[in-house]
Amino acid sequence: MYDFAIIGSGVSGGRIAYELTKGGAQCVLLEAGREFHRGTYPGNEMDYTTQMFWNGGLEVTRDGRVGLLRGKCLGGTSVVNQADLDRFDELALTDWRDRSGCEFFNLGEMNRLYEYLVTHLAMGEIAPEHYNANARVFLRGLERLGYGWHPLVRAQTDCALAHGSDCIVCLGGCPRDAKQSALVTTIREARRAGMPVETEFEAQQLLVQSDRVVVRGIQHGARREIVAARAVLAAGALGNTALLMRSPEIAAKLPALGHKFCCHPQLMSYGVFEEPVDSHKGALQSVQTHDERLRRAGIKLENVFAPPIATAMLMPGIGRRHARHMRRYRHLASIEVAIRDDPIGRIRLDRRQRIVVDKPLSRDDRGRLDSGRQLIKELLVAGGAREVIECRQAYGLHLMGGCAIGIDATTSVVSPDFQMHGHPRLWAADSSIFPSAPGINPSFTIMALSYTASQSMLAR
Amino acid sequence: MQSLSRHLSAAQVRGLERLGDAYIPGDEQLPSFARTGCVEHVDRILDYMDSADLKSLKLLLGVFAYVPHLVIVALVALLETSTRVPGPVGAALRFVRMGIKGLVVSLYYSGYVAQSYKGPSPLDVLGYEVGVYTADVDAANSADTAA
Repeated sequence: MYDFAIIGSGVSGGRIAYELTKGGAQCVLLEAGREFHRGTYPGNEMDYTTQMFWNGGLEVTRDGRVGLLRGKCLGGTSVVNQADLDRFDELALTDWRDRSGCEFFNLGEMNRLYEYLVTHLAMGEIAPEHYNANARVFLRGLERLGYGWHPLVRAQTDCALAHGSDCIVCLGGCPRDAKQSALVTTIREARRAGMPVETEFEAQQLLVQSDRVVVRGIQHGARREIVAARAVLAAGALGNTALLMRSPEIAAKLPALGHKFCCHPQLMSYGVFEEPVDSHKGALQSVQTHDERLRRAGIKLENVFAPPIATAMLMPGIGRRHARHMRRYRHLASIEVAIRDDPIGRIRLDRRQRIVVDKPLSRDDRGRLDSGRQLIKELLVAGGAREVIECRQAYGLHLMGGCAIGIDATTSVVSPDFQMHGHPRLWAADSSIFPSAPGINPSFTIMALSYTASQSMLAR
Repeated sequence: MQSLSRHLSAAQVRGLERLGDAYIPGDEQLPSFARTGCVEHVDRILDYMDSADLKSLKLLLGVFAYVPHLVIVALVALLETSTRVPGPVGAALRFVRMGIKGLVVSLYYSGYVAQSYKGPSPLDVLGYEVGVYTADVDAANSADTAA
């Protein structure tokens, strides 16, 4: 019997696996997806989308308005994201403290955790000389309109931009392992220390017994059980919530399970330029807005771009109109707006036990998206665009909530010591425990909370 | 008639080609969906599709094999307006749009074409050429392996 079965191998699962194994615990890491590495990433956009994302990258909310992307591979979403690392600010932490009753959500405590992580991670910014033309369009617009910005901090080593690397490739996994995903950092280290990893193991149900937790799952088409003294749920907002809901005896004690879902809904708009911009070349993402007015309004803008399939999904129109947009691919620049959305979503299961996400956009959310879209239009025009194409399909950038943390067992699922209310053998510290949307990239804070949780686990 | 897909019948493949041509009929530069022969690679997607979704898709493609082309064009044009349609009808339209547009543009802009196709791939027309420099890490890994 293992000390811990860790379900999910993203930022949280990887960090907890590493810390627990380093602390002497016998762990097993369970991942529903396959294992890829820098020599086996599918490469082609269609192939990595179908093979490295849940449901082929085609999950949507119940009203079909927001697409949901979540990685399904060893290392989880950290393999296929942009590895941004942002610290939470007073606004986000005060809101979390108010909602959860957890006093450790304060700048002093969180900065202590961030500083610990800084010494254990390769982090960096894109040097200004490597900002690509898309970033320069964005900055030109921001400076002309008087908005503040700062460079993105990313978990990265040397991307070899001087040698012509195009980071858009790394949306399907980084071929040079410069992106510091859980796969090439924490999981690699935990494995070296002897931790076994079970891939293509899809956890279906949990049974909590007096001295153990049984994880029932399917692996390569066959039923399998993994037994551990405790289980760590690190499968994200949808994965954790669904797993608990499929475990009726556990879910019965968690009345707030599935509540408070939020996802930083994002919209992209494209500017069309006279000359080629080649936004797909070089550093994909390097800067974001840093402006108190926008922060208070719940709006964040970043320079970003999308490969051809994703761009085609976003482009409006069919036939010749669609073709006209796509033929100008090299002449496009884009900016995204992500909003700090109201945590009013609900996760549940349908009759076939499939995940359903009710995520209506509140009136305020719609207002934030409209404001952001309008600002992007102004920025693109100020940056030199001769035409702006506004996309209507939103995507949830970060899936959060469903197992919110808090002191009140009637309104939260996870207690301040990261154990499930009423189920001390079950732990969680990933984005599922977020009590609201911070409006800030969550990865760094997930790492920080996971580190804290792992120390509590070892202490017990 | 033998199908080129393990999941779709020959008629359903024809339905997919007709659906694809409704979205992407081609123009002076971009080839039409059907002309590229990208449908030959459809199993790369369908192998990973949820069984219930695949069943619904097959039904739809079977219908598309026989209805007039203009009806398909009208349907996909309607689906493109679905972001503005409220209520459950709008939700259903958006679901269908996400599924079938996703399938069509994924195949077309994957760059995969039929072996017999001689024209430019859609990615060539877009000018999409990307890569990541790996010579240094490849060399370092080779040295590690040798050691």
